[in-house]
Amino acid sequence: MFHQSDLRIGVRLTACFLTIVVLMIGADAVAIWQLREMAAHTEMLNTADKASSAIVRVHLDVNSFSRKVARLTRSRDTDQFAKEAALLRATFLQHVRDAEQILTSSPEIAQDAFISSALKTLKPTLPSQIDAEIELASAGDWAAIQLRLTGQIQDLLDLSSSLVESVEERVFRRRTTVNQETERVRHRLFIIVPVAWLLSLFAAAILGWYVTGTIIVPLSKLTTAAQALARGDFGHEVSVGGSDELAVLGNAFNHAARQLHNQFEMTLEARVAERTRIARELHDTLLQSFHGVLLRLQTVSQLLRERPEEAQDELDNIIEQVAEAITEGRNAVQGLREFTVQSSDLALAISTFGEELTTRSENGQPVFRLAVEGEFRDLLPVVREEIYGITAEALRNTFRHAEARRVEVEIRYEQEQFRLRVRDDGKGIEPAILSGRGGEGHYGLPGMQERAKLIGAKLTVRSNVGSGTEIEVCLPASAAYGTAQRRS
Amino acid sequence: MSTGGPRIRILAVDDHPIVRQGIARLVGIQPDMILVGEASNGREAMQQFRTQHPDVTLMDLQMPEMNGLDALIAIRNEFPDARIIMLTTYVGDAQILRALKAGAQGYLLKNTLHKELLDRIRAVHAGRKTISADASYELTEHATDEALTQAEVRVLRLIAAGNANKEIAEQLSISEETVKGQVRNILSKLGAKDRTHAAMIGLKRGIIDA
Repeated sequence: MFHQSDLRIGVRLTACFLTIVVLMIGADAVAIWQLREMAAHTEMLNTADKASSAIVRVHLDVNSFSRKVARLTRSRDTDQFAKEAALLRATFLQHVRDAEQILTSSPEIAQDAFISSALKTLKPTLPSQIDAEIELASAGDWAAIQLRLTGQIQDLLDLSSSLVESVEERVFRRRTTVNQETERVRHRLFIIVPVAWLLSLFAAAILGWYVTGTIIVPLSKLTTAAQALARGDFGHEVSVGGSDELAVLGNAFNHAARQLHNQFEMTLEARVAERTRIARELHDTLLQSFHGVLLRLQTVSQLLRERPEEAQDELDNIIEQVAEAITEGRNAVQGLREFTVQSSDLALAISTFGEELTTRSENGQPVFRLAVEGEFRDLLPVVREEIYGITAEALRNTFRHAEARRVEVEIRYEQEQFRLRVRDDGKGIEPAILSGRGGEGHYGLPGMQERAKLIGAKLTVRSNVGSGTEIEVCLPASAAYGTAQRRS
Repeated sequence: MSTGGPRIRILAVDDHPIVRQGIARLVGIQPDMILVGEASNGREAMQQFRTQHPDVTLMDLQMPEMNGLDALIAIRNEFPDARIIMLTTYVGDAQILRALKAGAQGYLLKNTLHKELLDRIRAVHAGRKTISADASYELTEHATDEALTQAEVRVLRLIAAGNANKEIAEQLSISEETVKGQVRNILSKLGAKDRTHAAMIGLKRGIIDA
């Protein structure tokens, strides 16, 4: 089966059909051959029969001569006899010539020594006898004629009789042979034709089954593989052999399955990363707050009986702390929810959020502005989410702490990179917090850095006390927009 | 509660200010304790320890820049008598073992901290070792398990990162057959159903880090 599947399907099928057709033609050829042989034999028989007829005519002429001479002896009518004899002579010669002619086509008769010599003898002898009789009749020698009748003429008659007998015997032999041959041919054909049919049928069946197998088996393997792929089993590969159209299809299928697998894995990775991020956020903000609050409540419990005022103060502090923790937790959850619900337009999401913050803000309402530059390009979904998260956090900080009059967000869709800046003209961030020490959690700078790192972006925070803050996220085009060349 | 006598000097190390505050407040109302320092990562903890020489240190495990385990080892190096209690949110038996082997006197879970903290500090100060109930359950659960070898831990780490056997073999410069054998061992030792399950167990128990 190996070299078979290197042939193209068309070639295989053509070879099959040709083989079957050749077998059928072969069977027919054998039949025709046998029939032609039979025809040849029959032809020979025909010729023999014709020869026989010719010889009989010759014999009849001799017989006719004999009777005429007999009549002559009785009637003594020489003139009559001469006339008839002349006619007979011409007829006789014609008949002999005819017989000779036919005998050339019938070698088996012609080659008989007796037959050929007899004919040769008869040919001149009869005419000379005719002449002799005419002479004798004119001379009136009726006794001599009578003598000849029982002598030489009788001899001639005997000769021509023998000739006829010999020829008949030859013909008989030929006829027997032909009959036998015919029988034999009949038997042969009776066997050959059905056998040939069966062979052709058999060959057709075997070849058909065989070649179809080389087509159907790979097809069913491919079907199984496609079904496995539909179930999500990416590891199922089609085993490919040879180099025909089905092998090409098999290879194409395997390649497609591998690509799908990679794609799927990447999406899975992104989703897992997202989930990890959510867990981290929950851990960071919520859990830790709970731990802290628990400790403080324990303090209250210990203080309550003996130092109730301190306990009261402690409770007030705790209440405030819990409220803040709730806000942070809610923001985190909202950040997630907002993003998945809204349309895929980053600018729209940010401007909506900015406006909401503006209306909710307590420390005076700063002017919020969003500017978009460059030609809009689709960001990768994970990138979009993280950038939104960073921007939202930065904006929250600004609105909560910066006491700014103007807050600006600038989105730049550049060729080589993607950039987003959040700027305010507020009171700036203290260097201690900037450098990462004592992250009060309120600025969430470490969180922003982490998000940036996740998508391969660079986060820069520039701020001076008293002169505002600028937070910039920047990432290269391939990471931001995704190109045809995904990381493999 | 002991009255009189010198107070137990305590250093609190945690990167979450809310938690630090909680500890500070609780310790602050105890007559026999006094908070002498705070730090938000391992480096600062080192510095504070050198300056303050606390009696008992409370150290969070997961911190940026320098985590609790590294700080523990560093401090114990310089100060072999240092008494350090590890604090953490999650309990993984491999993590616990590592901390205890590195010289921690205690291992406390943050969710029971409000109840246990004060007593445990006093116990450690008196020279005893202390482990949260949950932590000790976890240890007992896996105490008789066969631990993964270093090589197996390496392989598990790569599995958790999503590598197939072939890639693991390439990265560790061993044959794919060897990797397959190690994966089988890992699955059996951890009682895992498949690679993903094994990775999850490894992360949960702290055999590998996230």
